Amino acid sequence: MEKRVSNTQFKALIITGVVGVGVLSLPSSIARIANNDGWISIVMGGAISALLMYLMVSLAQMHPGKVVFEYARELLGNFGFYIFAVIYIIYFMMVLAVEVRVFAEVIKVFLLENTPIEVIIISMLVTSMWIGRYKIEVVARIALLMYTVLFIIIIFGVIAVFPQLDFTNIFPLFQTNLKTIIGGVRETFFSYLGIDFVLVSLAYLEEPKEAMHYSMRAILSVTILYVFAFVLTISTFGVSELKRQVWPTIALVREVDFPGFFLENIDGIIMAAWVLIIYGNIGPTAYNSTLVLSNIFKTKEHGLYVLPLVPIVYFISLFPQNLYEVYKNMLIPNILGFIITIIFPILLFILSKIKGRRTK
Amino acid sequence: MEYNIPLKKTLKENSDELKKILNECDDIIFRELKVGSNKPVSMELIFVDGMIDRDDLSSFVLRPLLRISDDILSNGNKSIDSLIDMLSKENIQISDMKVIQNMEEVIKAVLSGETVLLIDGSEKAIDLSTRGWPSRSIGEPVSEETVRGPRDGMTETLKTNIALIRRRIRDTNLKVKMMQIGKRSKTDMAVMYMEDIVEPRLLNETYKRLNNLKVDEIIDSSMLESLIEDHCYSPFPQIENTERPDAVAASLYEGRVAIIVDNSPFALLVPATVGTLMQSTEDYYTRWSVASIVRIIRYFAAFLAVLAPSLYIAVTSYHPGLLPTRLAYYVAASRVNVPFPSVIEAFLMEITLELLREAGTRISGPIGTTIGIVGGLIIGQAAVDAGIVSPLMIIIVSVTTISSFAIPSYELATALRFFRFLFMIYAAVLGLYGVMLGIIVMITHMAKLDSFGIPFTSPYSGLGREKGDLRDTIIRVPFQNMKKRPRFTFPKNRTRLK
Amino acid sequence: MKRIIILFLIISIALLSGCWDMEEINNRSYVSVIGMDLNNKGDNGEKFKVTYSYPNINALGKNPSSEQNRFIETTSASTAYEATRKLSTSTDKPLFFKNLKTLVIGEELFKEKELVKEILDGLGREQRINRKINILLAEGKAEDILKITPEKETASAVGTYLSDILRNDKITGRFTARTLSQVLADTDISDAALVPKIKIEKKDLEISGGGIIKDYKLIGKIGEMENICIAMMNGDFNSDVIEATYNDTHISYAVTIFSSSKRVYVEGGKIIADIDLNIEGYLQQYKLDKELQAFDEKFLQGAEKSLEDRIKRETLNTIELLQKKYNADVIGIGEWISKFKPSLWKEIKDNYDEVFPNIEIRVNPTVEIRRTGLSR
Repeated sequence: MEKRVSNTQFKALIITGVVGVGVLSLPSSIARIANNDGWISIVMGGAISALLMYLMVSLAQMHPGKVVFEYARELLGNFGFYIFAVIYIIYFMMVLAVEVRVFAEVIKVFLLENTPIEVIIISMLVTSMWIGRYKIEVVARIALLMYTVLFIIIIFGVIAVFPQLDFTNIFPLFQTNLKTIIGGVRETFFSYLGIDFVLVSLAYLEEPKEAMHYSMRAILSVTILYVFAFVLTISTFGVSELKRQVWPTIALVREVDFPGFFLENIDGIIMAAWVLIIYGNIGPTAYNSTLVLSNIFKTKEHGLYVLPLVPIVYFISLFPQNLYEVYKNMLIPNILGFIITIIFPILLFILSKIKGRRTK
Repeated sequence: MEYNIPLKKTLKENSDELKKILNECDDIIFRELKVGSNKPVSMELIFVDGMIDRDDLSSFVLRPLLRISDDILSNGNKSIDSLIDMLSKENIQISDMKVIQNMEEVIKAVLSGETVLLIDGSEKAIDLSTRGWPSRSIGEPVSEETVRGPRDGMTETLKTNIALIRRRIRDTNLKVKMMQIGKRSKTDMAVMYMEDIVEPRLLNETYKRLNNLKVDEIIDSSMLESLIEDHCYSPFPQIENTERPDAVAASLYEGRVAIIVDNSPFALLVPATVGTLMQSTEDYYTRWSVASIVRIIRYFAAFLAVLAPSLYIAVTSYHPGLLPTRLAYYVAASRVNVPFPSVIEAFLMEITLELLREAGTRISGPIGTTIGIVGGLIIGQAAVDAGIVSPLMIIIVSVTTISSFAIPSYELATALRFFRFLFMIYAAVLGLYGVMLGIIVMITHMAKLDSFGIPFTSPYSGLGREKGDLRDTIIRVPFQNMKKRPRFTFPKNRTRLK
Repeated sequence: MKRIIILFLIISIALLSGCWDMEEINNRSYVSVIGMDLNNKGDNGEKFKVTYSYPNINALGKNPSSEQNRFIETTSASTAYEATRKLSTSTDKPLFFKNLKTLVIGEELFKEKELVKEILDGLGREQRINRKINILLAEGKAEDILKITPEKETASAVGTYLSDILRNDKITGRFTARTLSQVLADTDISDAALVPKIKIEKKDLEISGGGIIKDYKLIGKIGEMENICIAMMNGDFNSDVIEATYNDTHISYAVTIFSSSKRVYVEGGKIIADIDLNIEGYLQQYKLDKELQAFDEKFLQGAEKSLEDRIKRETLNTIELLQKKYNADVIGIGEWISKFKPSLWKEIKDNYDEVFPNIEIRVNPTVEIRRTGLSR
């Protein structure tokens, strides 16, 4: 069986690649900027991602069967490609470092207080990045399984949380001015990163014609998830309390209290699902990074690059001294992500169009 | 040991040669006879006593041979060849025979339980099919009993097994290809498939792997299984086996390939996935609503069988905060005077249970049942009374064991047993986080397994191509709704004609 | 072969050095109630007197022994967290807070604004304590409350006794259980919160009424009837019995379904708040007399009116108390304005203290007697 990814796996790859630690802190960070109207910023962020997705899918469809790193080399020339690839690799490493660091902080707070954070980081890194060694088919299968877990846990979470919601907390709406709301989109940007995986996985898609449809559905799902998180957290805490939370989404599920139904401390279940969700996020990203490296060094095997990546990401993740610095340093991956998700696809798209016209 | 030499003309030469090759094989009989009284022709029958049907030999071979009248013998039978022709077509009353000319074929025939008739003056010999040996009567397969459904199980005789399957598929498209594997054992085996359904690539892959085998012996189909698997180092089985001919027939209808090995009642079904390993034939014989619920329970049982002890360790040693308050107090109270930490407790009980299991498999019959009951009750009760383990641990361990028996495929259950211990270690080091890491390791491992090119985790992992398969995995929809064959084997013909 | 041995050694080292968080479930003390008091002999910075109550695991379980079923530990400390560490010098099992249910704060302590702020901040930050713990105001000292073993307590209720009583707020309005997150949310918007009050009543514990907290400081207490009114106006009310007099007869009425809605608007330069209370219930007790029947239109309407009058009277009294005496908006008017009339809220929120006493609050209760029971 040649490498093939089905449509649903494609959708799952996008969703698991995007949903990571952003969903934890997004409601409170956006509430700090836009108050009750934060959800508008989230929706706008989703719309922009959808546009970018459209661009990227069109770009990938212009080069059927080829991964972005392959045709980038053609379009940009060797030197341009090296810059491109280096930026990509740094971006991946930083994103992985942030994800695993925030993840480890969460685990340390809620599950394992006394375990050194290095242990949590290294164990998660080794276990999750391992799938970077395998072919895309395996990565896609795992993404689909993790997406199923995510889906189930969301339904479970929403149902469990429902009785404690006070929807009047959503008001007052439309109090913030438009400029602030649009400024808030920048805050949501990090949570939508990861859509660039399309450029890789589309090459293996079974039915490339349906790619647009499924990728849009994926973006829609992610946006809905984030809006849900925002609405649920603000309904439970009210806007001022929400602004004070570090990880409102988790605090949300800790509020559940139904001793009659045995739903007293469900943070265990949520934490367990959380580990799997982050695994689904780290895995495809690791796979992507090995692909970049194998294209830089022009090797056929991409599996061996996981091994050197692990210690590098480990050290980067330990660099910030505390959680505040982690969030402060998110500027760098944000900028890089901006370049990769917006500038690069536009550039490649224009170049492809020019090249296409020239060949004709 | 190549005997690829043609037979000689004289009986004595052939016979001596054979006796030299087969010396010290006292179970091989050389029966000389002289046919005809006028100009008698010397013949010799060679067979293995114990592998032939003696009645066949005496009544339908010896008797007609010895009764040949001289007239027929000399009448028009100028050459030995025409004699052989006459004998084989008109005289000997065995249902299946063929003419052979090669020493190797003679030896192969004799060692397979057929009788070879050597005739003086001819380089040809006649291979008579007289196979018959004591074999187990057809009874209910021991490992896969059902409440409703046929109760014939396969036996150790290849021909019987093929027949049992052929009865269920009276279609010309059912092809049976015989092969011999094993240099010394020369075990017969048959590859069966439905020609218009099976995917050619799957079939070719199977043939390729079988033909590439270079082994001395195949004692049981399980040896064959591990030799042709994709990943023999994985604890998970990638080939399914079954004793039931109806299960084989159903699999063939779905586009799978069956390999039946002589001397083994277990047929191999290729490919195998998590979906198929968790299905039991009984699901198709009970009503669909019950079968669906049972299937869901089965998946839950698999989940429990792997995770229960490790979750217990994680929760009691690391995260009592995850339990509701009342439960936390209760568990704490039940463990008050237990001297061991829960890790040791869990390992102790699990190992004891494994010992019990091993002991139980060796002893069957009434003693075995007693040991099971005695072991379970007394050891468990005594341990609790002595205060070595907490009662909750006993419950967890017994639930785990019972759950692992709910899994239809024994190999899959053993794979999960292996992972259960791995998870317990993970839980002991890092609590619930460790358990989740273990799950990640297990899922990663399962995702990379292929069974003859089909992903092992189908149909749960590739929903696009295999969406329809879900109708027959977690639940079972009524037969009226199963109009198409499942896709995971990529069959050529998908319609089931409902 | 050597590689396997090295790998094995590495793995064993990793495993053996681990288990940082391992602690057997029966080796922990599950603190169920914390009590905090002001330390009167407070010198050297130890302002708090913290009391922990945790069950004796030995005494629980299937065969509860006759030992005391809980332990109480008191210590003085400068913060609640220091108290934990101080106690670790004398308890053999580490204290565990994940199952903490209730926090009782002594009256005197609640009057110290700064200390209350410290406590609430610490609790909000605390990762090990859930935000759904109940907060109680103790009449007197919290330590005394914790030291009482109520006679009614069964073995299985150790540790959850108080939170179980608080769960009764579904069937009575005499107190309203408040969790930490609710208190924090209340003070955020209107600077005032209501906390249920617990006191010792003849060797038993009783939760009734509440304390008004304004600006993180206890400024007054309210009784049961007032609590019912506040709960009604807040929408927290679920069910209780209301009594009234009709034609010199005593009527007892049980509320089954209750809803309330507010509306605030500006009229003629004045802010007016309309609170509608929709009450449905059934008649519990009238008077057994040959002449009197409950299935009588005049009676039903009259009874409803008497009940409405009673409620209106009580609520207006409570409002007077809240507006004039305490100046604490615990009935959610400020909250409503901030959500549904944000422009108005922007104007008044900075001097809400002056605005609140001048808001004209009108209460319109509507009582429906749906059922009269089995007899006419």
